Amino acid sequence: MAFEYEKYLRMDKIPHLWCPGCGIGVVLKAMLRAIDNMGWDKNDIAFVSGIGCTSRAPGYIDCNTLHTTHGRALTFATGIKMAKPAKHVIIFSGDGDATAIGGNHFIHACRRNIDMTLVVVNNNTYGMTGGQHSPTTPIGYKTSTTSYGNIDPTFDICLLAKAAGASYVARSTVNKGKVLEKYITKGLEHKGFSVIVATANCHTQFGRKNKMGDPISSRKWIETREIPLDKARNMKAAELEDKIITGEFISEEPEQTYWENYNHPIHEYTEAYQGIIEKAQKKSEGENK
Amino acid sequence: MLLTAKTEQASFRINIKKLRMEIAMSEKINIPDHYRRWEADIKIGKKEDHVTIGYWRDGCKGCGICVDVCPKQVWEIIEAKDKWNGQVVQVTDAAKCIKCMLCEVHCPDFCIKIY
Amino acid sequence: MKKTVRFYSGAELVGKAAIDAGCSYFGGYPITPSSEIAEYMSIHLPKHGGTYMQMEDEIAAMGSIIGASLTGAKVLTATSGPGFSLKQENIGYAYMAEVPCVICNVMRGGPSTGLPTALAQADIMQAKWGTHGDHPVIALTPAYLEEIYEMTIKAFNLAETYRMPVMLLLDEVIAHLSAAIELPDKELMVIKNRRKPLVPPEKYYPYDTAYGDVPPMANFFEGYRYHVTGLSHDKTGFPTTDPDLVQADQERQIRKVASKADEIYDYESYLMKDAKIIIFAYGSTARAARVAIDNARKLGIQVGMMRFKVLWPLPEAEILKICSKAKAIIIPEMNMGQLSEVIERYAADRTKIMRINHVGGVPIHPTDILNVIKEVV
Repeated sequence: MAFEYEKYLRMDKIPHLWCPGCGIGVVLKAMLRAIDNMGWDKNDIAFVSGIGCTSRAPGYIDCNTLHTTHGRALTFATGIKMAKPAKHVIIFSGDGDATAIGGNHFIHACRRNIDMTLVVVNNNTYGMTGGQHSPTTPIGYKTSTTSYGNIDPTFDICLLAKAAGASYVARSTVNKGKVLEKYITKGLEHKGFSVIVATANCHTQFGRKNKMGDPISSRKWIETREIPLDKARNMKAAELEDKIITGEFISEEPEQTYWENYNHPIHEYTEAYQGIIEKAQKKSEGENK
Repeated sequence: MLLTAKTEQASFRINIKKLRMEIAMSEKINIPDHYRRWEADIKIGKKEDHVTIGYWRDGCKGCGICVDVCPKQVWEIIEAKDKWNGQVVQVTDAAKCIKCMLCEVHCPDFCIKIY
Repeated sequence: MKKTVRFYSGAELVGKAAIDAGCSYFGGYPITPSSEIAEYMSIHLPKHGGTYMQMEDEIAAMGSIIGASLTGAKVLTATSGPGFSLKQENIGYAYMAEVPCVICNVMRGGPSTGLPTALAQADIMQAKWGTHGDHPVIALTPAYLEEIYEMTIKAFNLAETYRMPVMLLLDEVIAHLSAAIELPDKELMVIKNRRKPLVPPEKYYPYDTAYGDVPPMANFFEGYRYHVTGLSHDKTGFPTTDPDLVQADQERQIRKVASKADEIYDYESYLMKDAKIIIFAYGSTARAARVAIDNARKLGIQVGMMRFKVLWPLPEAEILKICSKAKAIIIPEMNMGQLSEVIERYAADRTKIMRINHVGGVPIHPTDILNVIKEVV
């Protein structure tokens, strides 16, 4: 059965502005299927994004949408969620937006474990501004600012999120749209900060400079480098260089050692703040008596 | 599942193949008129079924992902002089389709509907 | 009527006024000398069911209050010079998206880290021009504790009425001043709220100019699903690059304050009727100026003061009138002449303008002002 995307789209804005074959379209569709799985009312959902190609996604969605400043989407989203904790806040961000300029907000949103869902579309570049290198551009590759090959080491966004305190972390690719949908649905269901990384192709900017300037070869390049987390867990770092590790990064087992599972989320932030309000009001009543 | 009066009668028919086709056609198929449309009876393994493929040419940017992901070569690239990319796609033979939905899931531009 | 006199500090009054005005979200970051406002809000906001968020940095604080304001909350943030500099990009966003919020800047010595615990008034131009691009500005400069309470509520009202960020500029010394004061009854204060749309969601445009220069504002999650962006946009809220639409939108934004400037101006005229020498002052320096004027009057010198309570927009027509009649204008400021530059532009050919610029962190003493007055005579 075909999925009725029209229900969630601002159809007068379609076709969208992304390049032919751009992975962001696939991620957007996975997101729409995921929110349909949740059965939420469109009026109860807010989409927030920063700046970049990925951050144009909310403009196409028929919900409360907010297109903010570069890297700061999580801060606006935190304000929305803390002001209206019962509503659903979902953030779209690119790799540069989330981990470079937005790095500080990324780790703190994870730390707070606030009940929001962040989808990072990682296409290894700053696409909209012309393909400059980002904190996830693999070593050795050419971009518009690394003509001699990139020497900047990369972040593993999932491990970063996990270490910072996010309580649901997963990664998949745009070759696996249904898996993305599953992970995003789980992230939306999860009560706490969820980070889903969707590795995507930017063939127009990144691919073109690295001999894969069309969607098919860029997608193949992603597909050939995928390794499931269960397999990667015991592999050496050198073998995993330039690989994409897919799967869910948080285990349910509470018995893991410190090194295996560095953090365990203590509580979800909006619930904890509700406790503060109750405490304050009780104290205030006591003072007034 | 929506059953019209006609298909209620059809449930008494011995010809199961016709029954399946009528059930498929009475399903809510939401394909706008300006979409291109292909219909075919298909076989998924041993099971018999019917597929309706809807395709929105105006939104298609000719990226070719549907051609690449389809396991059965249902889609093919054709020339399109009016398009920026110079190409769009079309269905070669809908009867080859096995409704895996990979083309619909991975089309970035919302151009494919598989019923 | 029962009078309640209580001991308050300036910072506490900002917090109390904000809560009385209906503020339900505070996003902040610790910075001297405004941390006391954050501390007050962290204790008292939850008592009223509001949310205090200490964000990871100043930029996050500003971002979070804009997000909260879009859901309908009245919001406040408090900072000082370095934090004010950091917030500028998001302040520009609030201007562009027309989101009501109040930014309290407790001014301290600058630039850069400067004098964290000393007085200055050197951010007044930054309040006007800190962020890139063109935008209107409303900045308030209270000088007395009671005024802090009234002007904070006024700041919220202005933010809601004009759908923009409003700057509340406090001098460090006033924020840290404590005294026993009598506050007006909370019920007597006028509270204004943002204009809500009267049309159903299908007919709603977030930047609709059919209702005057300030568009009615729908809150998120109330059935109006619209798009808010920092890109130049048209009345639907979606981005546009059409030069005519962008021009018209910018002009409307400037006009929404400029056309109502008469209702926004607020200044105090002290002994102006027969004054030949006029002092223009604002904030804590105005308090010193008042003492200096009283002393000068005892010596028979005809001197008066125009004290700006709303610094931007300036009441230009009034200022020009005064400059034409005055023998001399004295402008004492705790900066290198930021307001003086503006006044000189108006009036250098009409009258003599004397600057008193102290940037060492120690407040201007009434004697300093009195000496300049005597010099003029």
